[in-house]
Amino acid sequence: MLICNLKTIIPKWVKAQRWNIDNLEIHAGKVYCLHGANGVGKSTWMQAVLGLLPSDCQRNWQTKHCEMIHREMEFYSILQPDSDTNDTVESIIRQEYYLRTGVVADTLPLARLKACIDCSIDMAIRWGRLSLGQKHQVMQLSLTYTKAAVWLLDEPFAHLDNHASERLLDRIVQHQVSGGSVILASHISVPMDHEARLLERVKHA
Amino acid sequence: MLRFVSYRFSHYCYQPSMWFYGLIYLLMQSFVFMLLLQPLALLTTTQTVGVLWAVSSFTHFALIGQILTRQRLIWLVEAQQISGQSVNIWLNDFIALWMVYVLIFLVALPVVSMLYGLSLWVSLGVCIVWSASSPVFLLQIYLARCLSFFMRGGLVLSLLCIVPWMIPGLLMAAQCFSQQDSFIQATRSLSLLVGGGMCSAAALYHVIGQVLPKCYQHLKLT
Repeated sequence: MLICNLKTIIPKWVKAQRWNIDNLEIHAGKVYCLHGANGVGKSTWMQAVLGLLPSDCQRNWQTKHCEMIHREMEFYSILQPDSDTNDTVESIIRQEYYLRTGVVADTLPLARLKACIDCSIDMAIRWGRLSLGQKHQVMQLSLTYTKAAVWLLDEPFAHLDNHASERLLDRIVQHQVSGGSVILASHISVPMDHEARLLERVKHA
Repeated sequence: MLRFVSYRFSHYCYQPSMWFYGLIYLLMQSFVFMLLLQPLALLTTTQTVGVLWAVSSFTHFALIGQILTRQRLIWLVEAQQISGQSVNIWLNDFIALWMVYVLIFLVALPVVSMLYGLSLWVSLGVCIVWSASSPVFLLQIYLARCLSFFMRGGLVLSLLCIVPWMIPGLLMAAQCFSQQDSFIQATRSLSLLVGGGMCSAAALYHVIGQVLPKCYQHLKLT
């Protein structure tokens, strides 16, 4: 089932961009992988799709169901917090939850979110004390509650250990099975392996 | 909205740079100026308040440079775009920043007033006028900081562009302090300051709202 038809024309003056995807048809339950070397403009393209960078981006949503989701939240992308923040992990999670959903993360949702991440991550610890992989894990928590139909994931497997990668794969599969789509950007070959495993999992699901 | 402001308020309260450049820097500068301006008895109250005002302004410049970094600006724009809410992220963030400023100023004011020998009533007047004029003043420095991202070492140049727009606010604040004897005159000047400040704040709100995405694009693409 076709979810969305995406036409992204990025102006020539955008130096980082050497290519365009003129017409990308996003189908339900599919994972699209943008695979390429550093600096070819994968992230730039994603930022253009999100509306952060100048582009002539037309998103034609095909079904009423997706149109409703589209109004609520167009595309999903992971946000990186300030690198120099001194907040605790818990306050970052609360803020992110509020930003995404507009609802305050009380005891119950917070406990549910805590259960989704590595138990070695202490909620009271300062953000700056976490490793890059742990930071990615915390920010990817929002994948558990987002209602967006299409996920745009920029290097989602970077810095993650095997367990965290597995958890992320599970989330992607869940999203796929429930009729969502994912566009992955990556420059390393590991996600290709993940992609093969992803197909396997979807078959099983 | 209030919830997000409280998140950002606690975020800024935990920033060591906020307290160092806000409070410690303000006290250090006040102390140095006090030593340089001896004997203080020769200064009139208005001049002393002027010195305090200048010290506070220098602190604002230093602090905004530390707080509004490239990463934070990128976060502000991305959070605005990505969040599904109709919350104005940068404005709420700014309100939280201003509230922490007020807190720092209130903590520092008794010490500074003691250093300069200001009476309680004059300190209270400084507090009121500063609270009325500081949002616009901070917005102007905020805008200057945003503009500085467009050029290398552009903070000085952008400040030079913004300084002429600060002069009316400074003159109105000076007028408030020069009318200490007449309460009605001082209230009239304060009303003018608040009214002018509200108009400036409304204009600056729209200008900064337009500048931030452009700044983001410039940081990302050049």
